[in-house]
Amino acid sequence: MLVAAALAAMAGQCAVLVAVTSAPARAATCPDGQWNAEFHAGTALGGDPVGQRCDTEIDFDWSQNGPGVTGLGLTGYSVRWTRAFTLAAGSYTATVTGDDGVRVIVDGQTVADGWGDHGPQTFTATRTLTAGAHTIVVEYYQAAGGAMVTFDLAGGPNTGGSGGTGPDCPAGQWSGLYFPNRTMGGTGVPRCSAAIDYAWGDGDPGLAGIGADNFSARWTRADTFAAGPITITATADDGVRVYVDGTRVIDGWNDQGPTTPTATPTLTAGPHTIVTEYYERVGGAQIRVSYTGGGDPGPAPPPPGGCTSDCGGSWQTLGYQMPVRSVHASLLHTGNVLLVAGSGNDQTTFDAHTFRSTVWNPGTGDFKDTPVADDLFCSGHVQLPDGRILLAGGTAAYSTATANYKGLAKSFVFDPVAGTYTATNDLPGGGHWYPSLTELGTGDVVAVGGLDQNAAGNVATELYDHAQGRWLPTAEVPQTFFFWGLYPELKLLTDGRLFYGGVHTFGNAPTAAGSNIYDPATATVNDVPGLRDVNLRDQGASVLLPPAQAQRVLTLGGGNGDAGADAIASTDLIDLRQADPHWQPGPDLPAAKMYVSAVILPDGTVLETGGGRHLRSDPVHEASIYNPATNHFTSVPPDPQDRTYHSQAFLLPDGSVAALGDNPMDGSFSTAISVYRPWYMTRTRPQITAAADVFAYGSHQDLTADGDIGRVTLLRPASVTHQADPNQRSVDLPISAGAQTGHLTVDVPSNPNLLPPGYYMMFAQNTAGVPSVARWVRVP
Amino acid sequence: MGPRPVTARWGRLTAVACAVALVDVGAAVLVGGGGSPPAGRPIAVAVAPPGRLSGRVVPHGDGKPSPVPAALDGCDHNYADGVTGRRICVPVAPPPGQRIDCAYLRAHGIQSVRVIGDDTRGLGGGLTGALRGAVLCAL
Repeated sequence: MLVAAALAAMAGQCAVLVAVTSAPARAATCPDGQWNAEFHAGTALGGDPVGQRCDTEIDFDWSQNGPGVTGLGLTGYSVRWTRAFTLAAGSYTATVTGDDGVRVIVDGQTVADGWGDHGPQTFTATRTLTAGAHTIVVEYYQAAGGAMVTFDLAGGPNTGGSGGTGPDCPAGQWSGLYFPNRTMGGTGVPRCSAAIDYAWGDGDPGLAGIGADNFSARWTRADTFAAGPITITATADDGVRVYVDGTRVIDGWNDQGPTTPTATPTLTAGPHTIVTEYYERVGGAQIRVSYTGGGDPGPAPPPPGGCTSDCGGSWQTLGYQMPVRSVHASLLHTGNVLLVAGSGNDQTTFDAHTFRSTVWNPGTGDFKDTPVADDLFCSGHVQLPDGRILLAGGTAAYSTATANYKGLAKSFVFDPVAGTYTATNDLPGGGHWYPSLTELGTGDVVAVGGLDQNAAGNVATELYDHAQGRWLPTAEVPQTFFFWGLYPELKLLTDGRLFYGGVHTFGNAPTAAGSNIYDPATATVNDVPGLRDVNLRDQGASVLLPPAQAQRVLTLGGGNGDAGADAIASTDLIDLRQADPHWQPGPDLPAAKMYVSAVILPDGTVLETGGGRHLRSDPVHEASIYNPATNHFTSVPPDPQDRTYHSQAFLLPDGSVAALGDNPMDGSFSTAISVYRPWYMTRTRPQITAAADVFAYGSHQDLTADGDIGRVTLLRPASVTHQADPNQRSVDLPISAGAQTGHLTVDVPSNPNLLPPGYYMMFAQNTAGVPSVARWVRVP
Repeated sequence: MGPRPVTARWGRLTAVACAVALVDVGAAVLVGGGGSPPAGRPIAVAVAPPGRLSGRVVPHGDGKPSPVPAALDGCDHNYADGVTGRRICVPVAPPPGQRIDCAYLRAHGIQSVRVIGDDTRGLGGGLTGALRGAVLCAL
């Protein structure tokens, strides 16, 4: 059963104002079990509080009369509640609802964030907390209009009573505890499992201390469901019980031979907790539990429809050229594209200290030059939560006959609206020539790799704190002191770890296994086995396949320019939802190539384009589209332009793909722009005619679209260099209601590691698979 | 924001669990792992126990910069374009079955080269190579 955390029974408020004068009011001590409430003028919790009081619960509707604090009216105020809890170890769910902004901070870490202007919206966060004291802060602000806020905390020691919580398991797995008794008493033996499907017969579960008879087990799994009934089926010998959110829906808790009870509970859309309990007395033992529905994170259904004829699409070289040697391209939420050359691999330009970038409007063909103070050639870059582009590192010195390039320690933020760069503090770990920047679910950015200011491998992990707008001192960042090589593509996983899929720039792999899982929280790096051709992945491509919920990565092609090797055609796949993932061979590319660009298309496929067979030479024009649902490449027309070293390809909001750049051995640089128009560009496109501008985590969003909509996705705008965009992803928004009516509701994922904050292109596909043009939304 | 919604709307909103299936920050506390914890604050909200991965735990470095091979970009920067002086990329290693010579360079758009360091590729022929400043491979 769920153990409420002593809040549900509390009612009313202890509205004793300690200070309501205009003078700053200092916090007073509130009795145990009460919230210390501090009221601020303005919506930013700024300055000293103008009032303080103790509240026994947070459940207020101040729409009509305001909070009753002198100096505050009906609008433009903010409140911070703070309370200390002493909790048993267990899983707790905080639920906060606000109009307008609300957020919940547990022990200094924001766990639920609805900090924005909106009507009443509910946000929840489930965390496993250790036993002992914890501080929970609820923050709220009222901008205008209605004003309300509620908070609740529920949960506790594991459902079912004794035995404690199970182990922490990868998303989608059952967290199991096995007990050497039939009552789930004492400390259990943990084990994660992808499924509950055991037929032990007269044997035992294979765990130390657990025999063949007189044992019990409890498995817990969190899963996300669409609204409606699900069917749970349990086969057990002997007893079984199944709970959904603490409610027992199957009760077969008795000695019995194999018996199969079922239940069909109706669930609301969103996450739910399923708990299975089982015991075995003597004789045969088996347990199997399954249910319909669920699946976030997890495999999503393949996209609807799909092309059946005339599917090749077409390329066009635009009639104008870009005015800079673009090496770095970032699609902005304005629809424009920031193209950064810096010195553009032209030493004359570097020596002249002329560092260029331009903002391209693909709709008009206009360019607006935007000079930058330092050489961002060979920097790393990523979109920040507010849509600005963070660029870090670059070139401090060109290579010579005897020395490698030297890395720059500078960093800038580009504002897409103002069209200007602002310097941040320097990278504390020194220069980074070829760093990779990956945004975390927190909105902070990790940067690793590249050459330092002395042309040696930089081993520092850098962390940009987006709230503070600065790079943190390296001493404040857990360090592995591991050299990740150059432009290592680190991709954020749903559990917050980072995955290195083997693709980098130049030479051999930076790691022995060629692939790794990096936990930045603990500074732990594990090898991931099974990637083939690990030293032939120089400037291949690595892509988190759509939908991101499936957590599958495809690594394509590559070469080794340093070794003069032929490029390869092999691809490898990995399912990162597995507890111990291993690479598996994928289908070969239609043509062997390095310098591969892989671009997720809004129809759920991936375009691979561009390439060369050897170091900055022997262009490969073949292109193809990979379908994750069929694991198959289909050739499409080739880009008419050479696209080898220093090329970039990226999705535009209309669903076409722009390809830029080529920097062959002779030092020239192609400024031609080619555009690929996939099959759907010649079809009648559905339209999203109405949607909110901001999609909060865990929210349900109403859309209006013409046509029957079969799928809605959020695609992160590209920020790509050297064919690599570590942050590229396409996230499905499950349709929870109304797909056929033109008015539909989609569910925004609640996990920021699945959907890191920032602007996204939202596409709606009709049931024929044709995507709309993008509508921009911001995930705060 | 706007006026408070009607009761039915409000009821639906509050009933819907817009839950954040946030990953387990507590695990960062609970899962200690071996050895000393790394310095600094946690920078991700979730961890999974590394012990579940069969792959080797990569040892931490000592904090010193990593040595990297010379000519990391695969180019021998002892040469510039023979006419324009432009920066070019003469490969350090030839593709299989080929050699880096003037014919190879010309086939890849480099009509001549000027030696700006040492003639390490021997493009000038002979045993000692061409002197600095020499223009090679011109037809």
